[in-house]
Amino acid sequence: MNRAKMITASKIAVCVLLIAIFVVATVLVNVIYQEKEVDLYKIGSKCPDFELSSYISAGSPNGENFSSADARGQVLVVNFWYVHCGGCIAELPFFNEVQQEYGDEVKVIVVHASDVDTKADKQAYINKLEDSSGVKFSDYAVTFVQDTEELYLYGKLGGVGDFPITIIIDKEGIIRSVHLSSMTKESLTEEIEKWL
Amino acid sequence: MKFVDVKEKIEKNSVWQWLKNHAPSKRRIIQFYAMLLYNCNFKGFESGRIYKGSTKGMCVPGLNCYSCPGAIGACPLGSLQNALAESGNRLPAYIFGIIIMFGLLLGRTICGFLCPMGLIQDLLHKIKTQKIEKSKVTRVLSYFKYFLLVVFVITIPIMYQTGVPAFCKYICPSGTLLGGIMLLINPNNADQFAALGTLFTWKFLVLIVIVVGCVFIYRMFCRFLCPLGAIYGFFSKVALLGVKLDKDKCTNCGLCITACKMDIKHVGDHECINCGACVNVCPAKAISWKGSQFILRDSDVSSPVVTEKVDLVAMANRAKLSSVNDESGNEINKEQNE
Repeated sequence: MNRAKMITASKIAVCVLLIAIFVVATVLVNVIYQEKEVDLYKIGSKCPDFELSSYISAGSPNGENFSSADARGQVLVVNFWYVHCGGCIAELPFFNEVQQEYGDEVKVIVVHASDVDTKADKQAYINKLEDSSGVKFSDYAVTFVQDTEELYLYGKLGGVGDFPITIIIDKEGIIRSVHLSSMTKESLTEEIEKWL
Repeated sequence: MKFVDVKEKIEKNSVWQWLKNHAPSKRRIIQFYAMLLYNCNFKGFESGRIYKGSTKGMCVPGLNCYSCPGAIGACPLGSLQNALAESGNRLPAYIFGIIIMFGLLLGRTICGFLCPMGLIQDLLHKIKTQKIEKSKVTRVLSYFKYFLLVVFVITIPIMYQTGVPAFCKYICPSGTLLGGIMLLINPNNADQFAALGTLFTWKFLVLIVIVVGCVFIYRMFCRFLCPLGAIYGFFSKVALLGVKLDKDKCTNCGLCITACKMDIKHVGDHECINCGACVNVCPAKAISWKGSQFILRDSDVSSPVVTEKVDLVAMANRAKLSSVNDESGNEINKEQNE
């Protein structure tokens, strides 16, 4: 084979290789490695019971597990956040205020939905972080809990990648609303009042 | 009948000629390929959801937003900011390593060949209007990206350890265009419009300014604003790929600098995106691709001939130079004769 032919052949080989890489990547991403379909808990249906491990804060001083069955008879407010989400941290004070104002009528759980850091790291963040008025998260009356990969409560309750999201479950354990963006104190109170 | 035939033939030929003249260069094909490969989760564009497979833990070389519905990888700049913002007292070794690896292997060749933002800017500059050429002012402005790198990419994320990727959040047009708008135009995300606030308005304005700017100024974002280009620029001298200048052959005629649309001082410096525009204009064949000596023989390198791709201004300057300065002109001729 002469040199010119070899160059042409290698050019064709490179093109074929690149096209093959593209095709393989497209097939892998679009067909094989798609996210598993999550069996969504629908609004208006009963939320299956779940249990989550909690972090130590004023809301759960002993760090005991949280079980949704224990919150039957209370309006359950489920807020999903993660420690590096600015929007989540900005709205957390409202959830704390709501928990303090309504006392036993309402149960607010703040679910950490990322598994990037270790549990100890996240506990350290909760101990360290303060809200805008200088109150430490560890002094919050809400219960901080951790979502797990197996349960994936975040996805089942309608999360599609955005944070924060807030879900209201009424006294009978029926999912009443899924809010896919930040909440204000007013919108949160209004939503809770409906189901008291 | 014959007359019609001839007319048809001419029309066919002119179409063919037009296609020939407008055929994409190899660089353009590679740019398109890279963009498609980074964003091959086509299902995401349909569903309006971000891909979250395991490849998302990996960085692509170019500035391709993580939040683009098609993206299968992460943006190195975004990952760097997030890693710094969450690092505490630890060193984010993974992202440092991957940026250094890209820098050493490819350098700013990434900007010229593998960055989707580069492609968008190249295409915007194709719009036919009056262009603002490079000057001392743009040269000074080109240092602004180092300011953005230090302040928005490094300082703010490290200072406020609450996860503020400041460049992504306040400036990055790749984020607004690929992450923001591509998600928002999907009907499935209609309810997200309610969440838009002043931040989006600001970022949208930044995007508009950059898009309009890029029509008039070649690669405005790359040259003045892109911190990722600034980082890769540190590796220009040592990168495995790129253009290199043979100082023994160089006659200092300056044609390469004239032909180049970036703010370079010499071929292959930190502003050079290795696009290769200078390779063909060099009359002394002093500019070549790094490593090309392993593949090409001297006879394979085409002598600098006037092609449609060669900048006419550069050719005119060349003529001017050789007529004014006889010495260098002679030297060029000697080289060519050899």
